Amino acid sequence: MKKKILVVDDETSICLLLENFLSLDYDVITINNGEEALVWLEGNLPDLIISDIQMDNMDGFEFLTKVRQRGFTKHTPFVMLSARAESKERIKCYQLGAQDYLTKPFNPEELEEVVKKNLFPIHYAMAW
Amino acid sequence: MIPTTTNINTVSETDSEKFYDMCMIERLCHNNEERIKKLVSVFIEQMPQSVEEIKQAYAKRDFAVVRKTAHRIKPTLSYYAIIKIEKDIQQIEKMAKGEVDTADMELKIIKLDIVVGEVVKKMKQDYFNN
Repeated sequence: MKKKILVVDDETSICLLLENFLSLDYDVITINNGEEALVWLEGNLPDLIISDIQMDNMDGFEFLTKVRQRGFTKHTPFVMLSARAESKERIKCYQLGAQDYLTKPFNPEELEEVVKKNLFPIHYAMAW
Repeated sequence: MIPTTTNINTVSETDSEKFYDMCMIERLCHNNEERIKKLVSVFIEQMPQSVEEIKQAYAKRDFAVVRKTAHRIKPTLSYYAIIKIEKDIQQIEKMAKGEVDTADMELKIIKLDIVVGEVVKKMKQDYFNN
């Protein structure tokens, strides 16, 4: 069974790009905002979450915080994907519990590796 | 070059500086034509709306909305390699954030509008024959 990835981004083009790129190997669910994503998470458990930071109503920081407060998703790997490149943003994400941080426009190969690293940590570590 | 209404209105495509480049999009879509077309249609539908949002927010001097919208569309413009406005969109975001003098923000927004219009026109010709 394919691993399930939840993508949360308010820019439809980015959601589609991620879906197109990752759906060869994974099941990808795209949602345009954090609030709806939290509702979806009440009945579903993804293997990985990829989220933007700047979104209306609930930003990525708040979404990540709420994801970590929930029992079922407390340890779900979380990758932040943002056009903000500042180090302070990365630090904040790591402090809130994100595993990785990629800047947009992302390099597809880097995204692929980050996804693999988080979905298959043991296999990934054994590869080297 | 500081944009003026004169040189903004002479935005045109040259061999060395194309309006857009689909290289990255093709890679991300694994060269699947149907998916590429779907993405292009989303760009054609949504990017002019986002530019309109920026224009209207600027007219109301609502710089928070200008900044947020510029930030949101910036990566998409990069994926399509629309290099004619790559720096301008970054500067619009910075200006709206109050980090840079806003004196030429209006000109940059006009340029953004014109270039996005030309890109959309070219995409319609290239992908939908109209």
